[in-house]
Amino acid sequence: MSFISEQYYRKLCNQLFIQINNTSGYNAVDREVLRRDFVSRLYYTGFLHCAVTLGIDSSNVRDSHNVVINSLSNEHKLSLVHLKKLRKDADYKTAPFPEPLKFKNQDVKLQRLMAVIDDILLQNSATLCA
Amino acid sequence: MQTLSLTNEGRYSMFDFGNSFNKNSFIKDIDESAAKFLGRFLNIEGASYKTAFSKNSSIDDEKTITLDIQIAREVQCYGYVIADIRENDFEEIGQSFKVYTIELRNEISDYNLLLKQEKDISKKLGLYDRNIILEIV
Repeated sequence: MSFISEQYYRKLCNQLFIQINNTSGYNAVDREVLRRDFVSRLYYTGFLHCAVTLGIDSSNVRDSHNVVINSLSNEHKLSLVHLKKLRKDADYKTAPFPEPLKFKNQDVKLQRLMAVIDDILLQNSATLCA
Repeated sequence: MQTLSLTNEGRYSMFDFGNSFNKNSFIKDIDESAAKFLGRFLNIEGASYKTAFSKNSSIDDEKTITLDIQIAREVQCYGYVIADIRENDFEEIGQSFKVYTIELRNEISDYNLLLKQEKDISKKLGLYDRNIILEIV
């Protein structure tokens, strides 16, 4: 069993998502912190899956994030590059995160991202690059 | 709020059948916010969607239809009602990307299905090759 095969980060994201939706246990600031952690871990879930699947040693390759992303097909590249951008926002932007929607709760964006990451996790080396 | 059912899946683009754009069916269930959005592209300030289309027949000219409107059409072909559309740009890995965030009126119970539809639209409109990300929520 490995860190990747056990999908620890994905499991962590599940736990964070449950906490985000637990409106009675956390205040608004707590939930925003959880949202930021959720998106950050979600990006690394996808990045590490792609790196390992493509045989790229992310700890030793220079600019490993760019190398991994540029190895992907356009479809998966856009999914991961969008997650990378959101990860940066989560870690650096002080404005409310994620950006509020006009009508719905912004957490629907997180639900969509769960679907995105599950789609990436289903891919193998051939389909990631196809 | 509507819940999307699988029965909507078959309602795909009218362009698949080689027909010209049918503005009457397009505006049938239009949402007021989307009306304002599309009215903006038709240069009709504060226009309602139906008014915009009835006043400006140039929408029938494919040359005037922007990518935003093309995306909106495709999304609506799945039976969704668009509440808001936003456009954002960002740079990553030394390249420029554009994100279209489509907020639906519909409550979504299955985001995996929605993602599949999002991907189908992206492929159909060639968005992946143009660094354009579709985010439907």
